Amino acid sequence: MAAQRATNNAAQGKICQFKLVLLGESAVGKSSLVLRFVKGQFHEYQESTIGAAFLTQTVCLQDTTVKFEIWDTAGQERYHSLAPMYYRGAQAAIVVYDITNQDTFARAKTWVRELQRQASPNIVIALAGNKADLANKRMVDHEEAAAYSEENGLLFMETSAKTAMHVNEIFLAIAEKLPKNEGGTNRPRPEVDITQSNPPGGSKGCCSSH
Amino acid sequence: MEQPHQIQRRGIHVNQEELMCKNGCGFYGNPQWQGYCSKCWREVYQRQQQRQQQQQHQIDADHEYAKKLQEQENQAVRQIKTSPAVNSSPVHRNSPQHQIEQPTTPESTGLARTFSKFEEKRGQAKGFRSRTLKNFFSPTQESSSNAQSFSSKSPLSMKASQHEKRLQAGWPMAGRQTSFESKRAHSDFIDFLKAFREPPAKDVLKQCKHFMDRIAENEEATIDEQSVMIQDFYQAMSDRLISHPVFKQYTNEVEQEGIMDNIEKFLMTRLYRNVFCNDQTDDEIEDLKVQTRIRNLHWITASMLDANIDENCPSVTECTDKAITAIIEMDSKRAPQDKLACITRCSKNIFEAIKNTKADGSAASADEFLPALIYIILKANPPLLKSNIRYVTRFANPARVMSGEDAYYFTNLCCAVSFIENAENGLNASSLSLSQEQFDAYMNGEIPSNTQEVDGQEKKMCPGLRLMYQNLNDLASLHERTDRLFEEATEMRQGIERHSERIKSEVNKALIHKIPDLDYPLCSDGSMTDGSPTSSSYNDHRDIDAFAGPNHVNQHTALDDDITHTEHLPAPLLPTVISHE
Repeated sequence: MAAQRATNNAAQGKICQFKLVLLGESAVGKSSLVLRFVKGQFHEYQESTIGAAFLTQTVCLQDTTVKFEIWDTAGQERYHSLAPMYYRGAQAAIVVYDITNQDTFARAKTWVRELQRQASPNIVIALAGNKADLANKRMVDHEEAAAYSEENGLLFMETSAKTAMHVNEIFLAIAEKLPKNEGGTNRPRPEVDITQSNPPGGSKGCCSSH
Repeated sequence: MEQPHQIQRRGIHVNQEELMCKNGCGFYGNPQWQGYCSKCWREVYQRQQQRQQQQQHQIDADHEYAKKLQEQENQAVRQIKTSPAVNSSPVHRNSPQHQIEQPTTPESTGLARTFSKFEEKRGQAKGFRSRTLKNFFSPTQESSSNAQSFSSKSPLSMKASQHEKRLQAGWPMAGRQTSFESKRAHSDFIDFLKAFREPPAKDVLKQCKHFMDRIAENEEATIDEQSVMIQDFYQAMSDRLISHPVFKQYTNEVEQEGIMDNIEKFLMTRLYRNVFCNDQTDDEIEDLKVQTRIRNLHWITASMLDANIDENCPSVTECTDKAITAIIEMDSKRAPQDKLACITRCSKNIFEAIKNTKADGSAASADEFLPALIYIILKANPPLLKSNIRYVTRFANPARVMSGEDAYYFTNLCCAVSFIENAENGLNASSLSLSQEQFDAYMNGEIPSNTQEVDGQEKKMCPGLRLMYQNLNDLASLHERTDRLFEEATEMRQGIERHSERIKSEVNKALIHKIPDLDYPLCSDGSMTDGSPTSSSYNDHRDIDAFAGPNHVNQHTALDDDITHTEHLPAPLLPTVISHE
C-alpha cells in the first residue's frame, strides 16, 4: 500500500515545502528582493505587509509545486554568531550582496564559506548581486562574482529588486535545483486517497496537466 | 388515622381552600409547608425523599455500567501492550459518559493509579511547601473546573459529573489531583474527539493513554529521555494517522494536523507540571541568570541597539506595551502551541511598532526586527524565559519549531535570548558601540541610565507614570476650559440682563409714545368688523385723538384708507369735526 502511494505521488503533482534562508549584510536589499518575489512590489508594499521578515511563496514547476518558506536574517555584523540558528534545517539559501559595495561581497563570501562548512550538506546556495539597476556605481565585477560562484558551485545572478530583474528567475532556479524526492517537510498528499477511491486512470491535479 | 376525619370535613370547607391544608384534611395549612398542614406535609416530604433515593439508585446503576465499560477498556489497553494488533481488541459502545468517566473516576483506571504515583514522586521532590499549597487550592479548583467543563453537556454527563463529585468527596485521596488546566485540557480533548467517528477517536484516546502509562512507568527517565519519548510518540502518531486503516476517512492534511495539535495540547497540558522547569535540570538556575543579566542591562536604550522604535510616539508605545504583555503572558500558557502563539503575537506587535516609527511606513525587515525584539525582551524581562524556551524545544511537535511562522519567531526569540546571554560574542560593549569603560560604568550603575536623554526623561517613564502625567495635563486643560466657560456664562448672563432691561425700557418708551399705533388695529379687527356699535369706538378714538393732539388726525385717515378695500366692511367713516361748533 505504501508503495502504491509512492508511485501515485510521483505521477501526481506533488507539493514540496522548503525553507530558504536569506543572508547578507544589512541594507543590501534582502527584504526588498523577497518582497519583490512574493508580492511583486517594490516600495509600494506599505499597506499590505506588516513585516517582511517571514514570507511564503509558491512556485509551480512542471511536475511539482514548490512552496518556499523564506526566513530573513538580521545582517548586522553583531548578530553574525546567531546565524546558525536560522539556517539550521534550511534546504536553500540566498546570499545577497550589493554590487555597488565591495565590502558586502567580501561579507557574502564569508557567508558562503560558513554555509558550506556548517549548514546541511546538500543545501542549495545562490549568490545574488543585488541593485543591478545601479550599474554606473558598480564596484563588484560581474565576471569576478560569476567566477567565484563557478568555483564554489553556487547559482549566481545579478538581480534588481527595483526593476524586478532576475528576481523570479533566481527563485525558480533554486526550485529547479532542489531535490524533490525527499525535499523538505513534504508529506503524502490527501489527493492520493481521493484517487484511490476513484476509478484508476483518472488524472487529477492542476500542476501535472501542463 | 386522620383519614375519616378528612373525608368527613372535605365537603364543608371547599370554599376556604386558601386557608386550609392543600390536602383537604380539614386542618389549616401553612405556607412554610407548601400549604399543607403539618401532618400532610410530613407525608408529602417523605414521598419526595423516596423519589430522590430512587433517582440515586438510577445514577448508581449508570455508574456501575460505566465502570464495566471501563474495565473492558482496560483490558483492551493491556492487549495492545502485549500485541500490536489493535483491531483484535474488543470494540464496545463508546458513550460520551464512558469517555468522561475514565480519567477522573478514582478507582477506574490503572493509568490514574500509576500516574498518581508519578505525581506523588514529583510532589515529594517539590517538598512540603507545594503540597500544602496544592491542598489549599485544590477543592475550589476542582469544583469550579467541574462546573465549567460539564456545564455544556448532556443530562447524562451531568449526572456523571454529579456522581464524580460525590465520589471525590467520599475518597478524597484516592484520585490524583488534577489541576484546573489539566481538567479543561481533558474535557477539550474529549470534546474534540467527539466530532470524530467512534473507532478513530477511540484509537487516538487509547494511544494517548498508552503513552501516558509509559511515561508514568518510566519514572526515572531524565528530562531528555522523556523528550525523546514524546518526540517518538508524535512521530509514531502522525505515521499512524497516515497509514493506519482506522484513520482512512481522515486523509485531509488539515484534519490530521488538527488531531496532532489536540494530542499535543492534551498530553503537554497533562504533563506540564512534571516536565516544565524540572528539578533534575538546571533550567531554574539558567532562568535566574538570564533574569539577573537582563536586570543589569536595564539602562540599554532603543537607540543603543539600533532598534527603530520611537518611544515618544503614543501609537508606538501602545504596540510595544502589547508586545511586552504578550511575551510575559507566554509563561502562563501550558501547551507549546499556546506559548508559540504568544511569541508570534509579540513579534507582530513589534513589527507594528517599527512600522509606526518609520516615516515611510514600509514593512520592517529582519535587520530591524531582531534589535527591536532584543529591546522588547530587555524591557519585559519575561519570567522563566529559559525554561519556556527549553520546554518548547524539548516537547513541542518538531514540525512546529522547524517550519512555519511560529517557528520563525521562536527562532528569533532564541537568537535574541542567546544574544543577551552571551557576553563575549553577543551583547557587549562593542555590539552597543560603546567603549569598554562606558559599558562597565553602565553595568556598575556609575552612569545613571538616562543621562543621554535628559530631555526625553519624561517620555521614558513607566507606562503608569506616563499615563498619570498625561491625565494631569488633561485635567489642567479641562480646568482651564471650565474656567473659561464659567466666565463666558457670567458674561452671557449679564448680557441677558442688559438685554431684558433694554427691551423693558424700549417697551415702556413705545407704550408712552405709540399707543395709538398699537391700539388701532385692535379696534379695526375686533369691534368694527363684526358690526358692533361704532359709536363707542369712535368715542375712544376721539378721546385718544384728544389726548394725542390734532397731529394724528391725518394719520388716522390714511390708516383707514387701507381698510376700505375690504368688501365685508361697511363704508369707511370719514372723520368729521364735531367738537368745533
